[in-house]
Formats: sequence, structure tokens, C-alpha cells
Amino acid sequence: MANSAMTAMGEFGLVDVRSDEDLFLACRQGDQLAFRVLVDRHLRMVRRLALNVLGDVQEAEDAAQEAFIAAWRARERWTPEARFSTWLHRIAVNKAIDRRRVRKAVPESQEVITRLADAEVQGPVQADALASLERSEVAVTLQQALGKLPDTQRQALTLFYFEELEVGRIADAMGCSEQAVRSLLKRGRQTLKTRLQRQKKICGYGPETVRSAPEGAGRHA
Amino acid sequence: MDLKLFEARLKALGAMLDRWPDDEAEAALDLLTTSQAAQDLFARVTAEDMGVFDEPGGDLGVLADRIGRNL
Repeated sequence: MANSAMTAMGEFGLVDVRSDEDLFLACRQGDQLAFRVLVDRHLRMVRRLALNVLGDVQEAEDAAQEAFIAAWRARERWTPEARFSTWLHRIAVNKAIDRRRVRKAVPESQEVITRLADAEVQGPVQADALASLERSEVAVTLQQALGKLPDTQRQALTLFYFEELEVGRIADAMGCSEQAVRSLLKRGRQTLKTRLQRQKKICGYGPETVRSAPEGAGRHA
Repeated sequence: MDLKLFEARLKALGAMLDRWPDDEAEAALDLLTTSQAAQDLFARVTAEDMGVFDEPGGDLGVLADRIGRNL
């Protein structure tokens, strides 16, 4: 548990006598060194919070990174009335919960793919075994593609498709306009669709395969 | 799950949710999603737990550098 000496010294030996709140106010002027001191002081706790939600060290470290970056990006909106540590911890818990829910939702991802795909991607009905294989491969690809998206796009897609929030509520949650959310959803969907279509081509059951198949034949006939 | 039950479970089971029964962990996550009071309580118990449970390891300096590079 952090004590006052640890707070003053920090995890990695950075010394700064200013309070968390004063440091974060300095961050508003673009002072990245002040933010590094805050990372120094709070990283262990933030990672532990995320680990308690996620149960996986690597994922917890990714969530901790997301939490600090979100804090940095929101520094203009933070008000000194709120304790920095309390605010940061809430961000960390929310980031970890987001990740946990995305992880849980991935097996359901075929539904998402169906909603993402346009009519061009739809092909003839295929055998159950093939459909099952495709679902599992698509789910893995979706997970990988989601993981590579910029944070804001991934968050918007997650809230929209997995949490089924309306655009207005997503805008509130992300602190941006509805138009910005729509733009994030559009770019994220396009990126995912491109990657999933590429994967289908590689696997040989993509739209091109369907188009070139003899009429009445199945995708893998 | 309400805040009172959440606090009781935290005291009983600790803050590592993967050690909780699945249904109670899910209920706790639902509460954490909607309640800042629950989040603050969770953080307090987590801080207390840090003096009890082993650290997971890993180089926090590397992680801190990674965060700095991504600002």
C-alpha cells in the first residue's frame, strides 16, 4: 500500500514535492514530466485495480496504459475539486471493465459480424460445420482487429455493439460529440470490415470465391 | 447487488474478482459500472489488499515508459 513517503518519492525514484493535483494542473500546460511523476506514483495501484477486474497481468497492464492515456487526454476537463487519485482509479476500473466485457463478448461476435457486413459479403447458405469453422476464425480475427484499432474507435465500437448504448450516451461517456462518435464508428467499422474480408479471401471462402463459384454450388464446392 | 452487499463480499473475498463466484463477480461488475461509490470502495480495498497479496511481477518501468511514449 502506498504511504506518504512513497507518494512523495514515487515508484521509480522521481522526487517531486507537489501534490497530485498540482502536478496534474501542470499537465494542462503540456508538462509531460509532471505526468510521468504521476505515473510513477500511481502505476502500481492502477495496474492492481485492473488486475483485480481482469485477472490477467498482460491485460491489466494494457488497461492501466489506457487509463493513464485517457487521463492525460482528459486533463483539460478535470477540475481540482476532485482528488486526482480518486478520479484516476475510476477511469482505471472502467477501462478494465470495458476490456473484460469485450473479452467475454468475443464468442458472440458472429452477430456483430453480421451487422458489420453489407450485402456484398453475404453468400449462399453453407454447411453447419463450415459455418462453425468460419465463426471461430472470424471471432479470432475480430478480436485481433479490435485490438489493433485506435483506442477511441475500439471504445466506440465496443459501447455501440457490445454494450448496445445509443450514440448520445456513447458521446457522453467518451466526452465528445455525437458526430465524433458516428465518425469513430464509421472508421472503425470500415477498418474491421476490410480486415475481415481480407481474412475471408485468405481462407478461400470470401465474396470473390462466392462470385466465381458455379451457380448453385456451395462456397467450397 | 447493492453497495452494502458488495462491501460485505469485498471484506469476505477480497478485491480479486476472479476469486469470486462467477455470478457474484458479474453482479459486482454491473454495480461497478454504474456506481462511483462502489468504484471508490473497490479502490480502497484494493489498496488494502496490496499489502497482503503478492505483486504480479513484471517491470513497471517498462510499462511507465510505454505510457510515456503513447501520450
